[in-house]
Amino acid sequence: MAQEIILSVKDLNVKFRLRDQELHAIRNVSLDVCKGESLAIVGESGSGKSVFTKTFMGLLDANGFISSGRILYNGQDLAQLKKEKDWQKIRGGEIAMIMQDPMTSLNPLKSIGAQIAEAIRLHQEIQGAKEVQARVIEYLKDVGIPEPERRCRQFAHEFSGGMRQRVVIAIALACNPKILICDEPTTALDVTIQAQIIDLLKELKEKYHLTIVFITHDLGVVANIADRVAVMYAGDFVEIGMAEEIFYDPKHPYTWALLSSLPQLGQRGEELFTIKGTPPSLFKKITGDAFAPRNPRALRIDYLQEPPYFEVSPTHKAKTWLLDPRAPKVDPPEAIRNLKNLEEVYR
Amino acid sequence: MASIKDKLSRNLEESITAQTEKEVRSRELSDEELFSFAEYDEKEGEKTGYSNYSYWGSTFRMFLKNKGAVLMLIIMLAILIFTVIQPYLPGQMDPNLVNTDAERFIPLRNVPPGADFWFGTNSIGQDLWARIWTGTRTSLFIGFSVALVEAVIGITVGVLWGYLRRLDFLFTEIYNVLDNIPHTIILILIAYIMTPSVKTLIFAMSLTGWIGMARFIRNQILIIRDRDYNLASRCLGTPTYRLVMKNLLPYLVSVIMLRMALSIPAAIGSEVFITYIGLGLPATTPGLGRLIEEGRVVMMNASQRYQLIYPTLILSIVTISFYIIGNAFSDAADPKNHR
Amino acid sequence: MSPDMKNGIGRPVEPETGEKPQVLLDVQDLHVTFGKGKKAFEAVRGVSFQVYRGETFGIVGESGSGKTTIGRAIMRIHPTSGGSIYYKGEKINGKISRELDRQVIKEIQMIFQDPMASLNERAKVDYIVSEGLMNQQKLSEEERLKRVRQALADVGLLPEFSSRFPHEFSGGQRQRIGIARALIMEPECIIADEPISALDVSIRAQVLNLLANLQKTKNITYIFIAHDLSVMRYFTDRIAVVHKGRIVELGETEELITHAVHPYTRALQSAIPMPDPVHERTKKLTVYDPSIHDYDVNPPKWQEIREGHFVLANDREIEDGFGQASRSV
Repeated sequence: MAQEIILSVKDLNVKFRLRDQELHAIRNVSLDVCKGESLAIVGESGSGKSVFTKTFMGLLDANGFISSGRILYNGQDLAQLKKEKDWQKIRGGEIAMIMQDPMTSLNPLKSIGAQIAEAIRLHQEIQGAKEVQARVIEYLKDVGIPEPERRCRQFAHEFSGGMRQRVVIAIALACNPKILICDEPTTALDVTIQAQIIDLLKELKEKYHLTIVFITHDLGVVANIADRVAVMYAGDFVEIGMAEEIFYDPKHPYTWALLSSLPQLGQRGEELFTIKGTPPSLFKKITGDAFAPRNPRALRIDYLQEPPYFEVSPTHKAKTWLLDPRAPKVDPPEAIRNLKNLEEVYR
Repeated sequence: MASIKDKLSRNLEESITAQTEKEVRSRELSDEELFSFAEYDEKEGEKTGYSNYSYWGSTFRMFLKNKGAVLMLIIMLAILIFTVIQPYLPGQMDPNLVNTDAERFIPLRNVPPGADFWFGTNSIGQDLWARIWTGTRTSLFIGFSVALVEAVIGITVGVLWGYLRRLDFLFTEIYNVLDNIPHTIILILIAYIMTPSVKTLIFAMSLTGWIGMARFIRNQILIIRDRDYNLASRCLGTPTYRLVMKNLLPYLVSVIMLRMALSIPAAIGSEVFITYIGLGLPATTPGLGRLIEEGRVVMMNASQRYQLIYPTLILSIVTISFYIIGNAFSDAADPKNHR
Repeated sequence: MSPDMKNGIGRPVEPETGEKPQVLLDVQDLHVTFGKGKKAFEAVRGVSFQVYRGETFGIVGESGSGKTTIGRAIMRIHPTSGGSIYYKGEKINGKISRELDRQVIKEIQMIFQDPMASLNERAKVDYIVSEGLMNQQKLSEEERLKRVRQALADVGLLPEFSSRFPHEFSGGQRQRIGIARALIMEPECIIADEPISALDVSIRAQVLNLLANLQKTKNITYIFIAHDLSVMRYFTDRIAVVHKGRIVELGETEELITHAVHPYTRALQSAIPMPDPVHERTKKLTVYDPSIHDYDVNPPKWQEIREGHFVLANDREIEDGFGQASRSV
């Protein structure tokens, strides 16, 4: 990919101190985010996908810290930032975030118009009251809120869940960010609203030239929005590739498992594929492939030695011994072999 | 002399070599073996880290972490124990005895603190040391009794009020009526009508105190009564009594504790107030209220100011420590703060 | 509601066996109203359906559609303001006798949406699971523990979990504790109110498989409530689509999904996220706009358009293929 890299993470390690123990949440992760792409980070809860993106904004909990590694943005190493004042310059204006629960990011005592106006004043050159108000209306229109002139005077509790999330997006946009991190923005919403929000994000990405990092636990959701998908397991990316490569030609057993457990692919009366057990404890040192204990077809080497990234294509790499030439041939599960023709099968 | 340090480092070295050996051995496995399927145990994945959690255990552990509160608790316990054992210690005086000069038969008034009278004497010659401890005992007794009565009545009424929807209207109206009568008036009236005694004061304060508690519990119950886990219990046909004991009250432990801890100093404060307006305990049963009142009278006289300072100091320590202990305990009892 | 609604009966599940399917639960013209006077809000406005023994009946709709309220009205958490609910032919809403109350509590159970909120945090798993059992009968401690162990085993949990507190478990395990709590009552019917939507995708499959297996081994009837049609397709035999307190379409799952008629059903269908990027990117999202219905002159009726496939529509809508014309405008 000859694309410009906007954010580059190199050998990042994040640890948390919990009751005299250390939890290794992000284990030596490297990832480049390209300008203008939408990158999806997919993983189970506890895989570290939220922690990973929080490091870009200095939002780690008090007991968490970056133990080593670099996060390069605009020639600056974000991992070195210590002071709140420095972070203020990054947050909002450069990198903005949308959370799962819109209520946590809205002020219940301020009209939503005032909240958007505040973001505009802080992060943009526009200052005149009239100009700001005009921008507020425009942002509300952009995120698809009907009657913006009237609704900008309303408060967060007067909006439905889907509409609230749109307001949060409008506030994020008003900060004029280059990168928009969406942390499970649709998980709490109905499927119909979820589809609308994802369509909206796609539209806004074009209009405002955003780079989107979309975090979710549901691979089904990201097919629409993601250009590239990174699958995270136990604090490490096990597979990274273009959306087509991840969906049509996945290589890591964990990606297989995530895909084939989707109920969309289930046939009535047949068992769905499930991932047994629970993710490994990150308090302990992990040897070999972290997914091995839950992988019924794990190889012996998976327990002994950590697999390197094997390159499948210039844009697609996976961390599994199955790609080693010495490995036996293991086919992906039946259910996900033909996702391209899913449409005909399904409807 | 091989020190322990050497020994330890040797141990460490040995274990490292053992580990590397293991790794080397793993490399000695042939490729064919390495790339064969490993055995897989399905049950293994279901196990989670066992933690021996107990609610009260964690509560106490969290409380002990708050050093300030532990210190206050120790001081409070010391005061409490001392008030109980003080009369039996040697060389203690009767708090009501008016001390007189053995030769001239004049009461020893306003004697400053010294070797004979550790805290001095008051304006009629009674030993302030003895009176302060007796007074603290009386006041604490009143405080604890009122808090207990308040809690028992307040929780019972509050639970019924909050949980049984049919009773809500009735209870709310009763509450409105009772709450609109100024508590001070009730307190004064009762103290005025009945003979002043410790029992009277406890009765008068409990008469109004439970109302606030009941209202508070009712609001708490309303907040949690329709949570999913309570709906689930109702769907299982759990009788109301068990639902209250198992589902509702355990969730309120921390807030109830805080309120009780605060109502103790509040009751002592009321006692001070009642005494101040002249309706308090008889002079023969000194409470902290009476002592402070006596001290207040001579406050302007610098040489006798100790008569106000000592009882006020005790009152302050008691109030502040209950406040800090109550807050710390209520934080510790909230399972959100566990782990 | 129009009297036509009362005939809102779908098809039996397995017509080929020749056996007449038994109606387990019969909901007739159900109304549920919250609040009083001016503030009154009618969450369920005349809903009728029947659930057959052994089937999985799906209720699908968005949040605020009233689907959860229907389930909770059957559970008698919410009082009904109109209509009747019959269980095995006996009316169970409104005032009922003590014996019937006990029977219904035992035989109809519920699984809640949020496994984080539906377990008593201050009680051990042991108590949570056996709570219903203790309400039903006096059991010796030994017998009780045996039943708890059995229920935990049924949902794939280890017996030693019984002495732990809920917060020590993951979302999927907690949801299984919730299922064990319902199972120990040996219910005939379980109302599952969005049992998987609060769970990670990787855990959803586990819980769905578990529910399916329990149905097979214990012959339990499910009423499965969800907002996601894709899960419905995998899991249910028949589906009722609910919008704003009314059933707008009802039919056998395959029939309903392959021949969806009502624009709301179609909107739900088009919103299903598919793991197929090429198709997803080009997909045109259908958004339901209730104002396309012109019901002033010609009110909607509950009509059977194919065998066992019902839809709420007026005659004109049926004729022109349901707003196909209006959508092309």
